Amino acid sequence: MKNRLKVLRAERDWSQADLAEALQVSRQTINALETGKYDPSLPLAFKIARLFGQPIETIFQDEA
Amino acid sequence: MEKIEARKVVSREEIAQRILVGCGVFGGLVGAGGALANRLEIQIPMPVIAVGTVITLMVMAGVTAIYWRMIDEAAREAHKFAWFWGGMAGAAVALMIGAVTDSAWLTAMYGDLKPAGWLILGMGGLLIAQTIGYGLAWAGWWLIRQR
Repeated sequence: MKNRLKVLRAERDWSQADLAEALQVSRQTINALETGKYDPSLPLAFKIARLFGQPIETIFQDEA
Repeated sequence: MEKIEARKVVSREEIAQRILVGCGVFGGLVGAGGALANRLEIQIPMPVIAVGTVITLMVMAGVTAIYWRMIDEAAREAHKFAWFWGGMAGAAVALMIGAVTDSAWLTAMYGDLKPAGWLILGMGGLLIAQTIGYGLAWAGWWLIRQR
């Protein structure tokens, strides 16, 4: 699954640590999400969407 | 754009890591104490060992539950992956080694143990192999997802 996390984070000038703090996850988890090698659970995806104020489908795109 | 204020607080992950390190230090101290008692030929009464083991297991269960609640979902996923694939691969390797190991070699190395002694030795070997497999699988899960 592709996502726009890195772009959205960069637009806000947030570091990975800042985003990790806001989502209450580790920086390693943010890195894994941004590289697209870890897909978040639905609760975490909703939390990300709420934080960036955007619908989930504009942040995460299915590659299939 | 609003900048998130970086708070100077210890994150849940850091607390979880400290709990693990604390458990490792505690385990090391208990092991060193046991080895020292063995070297000094101090016979620890069986009831003390039994009660100590039960208390240690209960504390370990509690600490594990706290640790599990502290870590995030990716960290949990890494542990689940490591438990299944690493533990299973470690057990498979241990069983294969056990199948090809000559019993005469084991007797030469550990002496003529009672059946209970061989059982404990086998369980210990299996546990070590599974722990190594677990660690490798856990590290591999994170390494793949950090690049």
